[in-house]
Amino acid sequence: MQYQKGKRFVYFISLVAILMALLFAFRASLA
Amino acid sequence: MKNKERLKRTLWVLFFLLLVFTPIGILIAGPSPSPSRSPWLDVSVGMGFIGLALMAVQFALTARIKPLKEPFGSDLIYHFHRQISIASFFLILSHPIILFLIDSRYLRFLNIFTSPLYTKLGVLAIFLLISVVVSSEYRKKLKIPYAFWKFWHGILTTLIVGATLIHIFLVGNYLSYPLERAIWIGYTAAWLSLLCYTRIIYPLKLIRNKFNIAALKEERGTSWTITLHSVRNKPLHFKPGQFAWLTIWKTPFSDTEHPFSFSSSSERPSEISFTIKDLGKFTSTIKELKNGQDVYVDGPHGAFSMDRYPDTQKLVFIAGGIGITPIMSMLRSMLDRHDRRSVKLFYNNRDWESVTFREEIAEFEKKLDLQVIYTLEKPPQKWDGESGYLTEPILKKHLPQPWIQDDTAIFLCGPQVMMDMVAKQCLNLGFHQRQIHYELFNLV
Repeated sequence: MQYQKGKRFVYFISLVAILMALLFAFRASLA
Repeated sequence: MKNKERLKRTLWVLFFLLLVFTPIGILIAGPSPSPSRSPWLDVSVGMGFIGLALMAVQFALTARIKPLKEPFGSDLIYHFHRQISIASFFLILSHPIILFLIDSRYLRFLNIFTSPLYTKLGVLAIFLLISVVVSSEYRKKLKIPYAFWKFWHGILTTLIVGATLIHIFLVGNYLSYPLERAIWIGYTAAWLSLLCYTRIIYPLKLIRNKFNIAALKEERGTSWTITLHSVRNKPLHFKPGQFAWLTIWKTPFSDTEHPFSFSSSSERPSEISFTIKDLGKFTSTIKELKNGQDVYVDGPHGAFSMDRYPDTQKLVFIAGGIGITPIMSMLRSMLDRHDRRSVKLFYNNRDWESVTFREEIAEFEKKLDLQVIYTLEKPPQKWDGESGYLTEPILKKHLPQPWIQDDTAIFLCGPQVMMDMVAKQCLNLGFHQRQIHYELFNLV
């Protein structure tokens, strides 16, 4: 179960990483 | 799990997220880029920054920092390290790929003979990163010896992070922001300190606290028990079921250690022992050890211990072959502690002659509230015990309803195939996942 939680945490971090990179790139349009 | 432990886990996770996402957070809050700059260029840069931060944190994950390992357990940390490293690999790889997609002129940087130093370092880091991921994921298929892999894994990952850090400082984009520059200088300093700790200070500590071989004993099942004494007479306190990394024949600077479970009682920390089966190149040398020989012990590590679940009233131990070692440690500790809790031990072996510790286990049956169920793949004639592999009907037969309660804990140790199978069988019997404890070490 702990291994599954760890795996889900990795997916979560990867998703947040991609969103943060997009937010950083398009910050001017969002401002 | 106690609330204190849960709190520790949460704090570590938050700290991890803070380390990984602070650099990009500062960039997001920073000034807007010039309108002529392609946003996809910044997507590429952002992916690179997050990927690098993730990769640098891996050194902390694998540095065996006790306060970090204890709430999670070493195997969970290593599994996470493996998975998150692959995620960071794809993030870093996306950095040049996006660059090539937005402008094919960036492809000229692949020519390391004509490109500037910062791209040479970037290209070098990417190629080394690919080799590290491939060699880690397919080590067995590529037949790379573990010790060789482990040594080069350390060297190559250090080169990768070093080259990437120099790459971002030389490129200089966004590091002109004082706060961003300060963060990356801080990360570089922390990373270098960590390297210094793991490669120099930690091995020196192990050398200072070295152990000697006090006894070497042959056991059933081509296994040997080595008993160790601390040269400085310093007891090594551990929880029964935990393991340590042993360096034998070489010094801790060689980075060629191997993990083994303690097989002795945790109540006797001045005389620790490990029982090791002859299964490969390294373990076949154990029988050649001599009394008085130096052994370096890095431990204890691991979360596989009955001591983590003190409220448990009934214990089910399931061992396959040499997987009995951490369970022996738990049984020996129970004996020393006069622990009268009920225990069932399922012990699977190939044949009766190779049942390691069978005489001592017979003694435990007299002194503890213990019932042992042997399963033999090749039973002798007139064998009235269980035959074949451990199956669900066998478990069901010996675990009546009063055992399938919340106050029962199951500890599994053996080959991974067996553990996967038996864990599923226990779930089918009605146990909850939180009651089943095991550690997976077959990582690379």
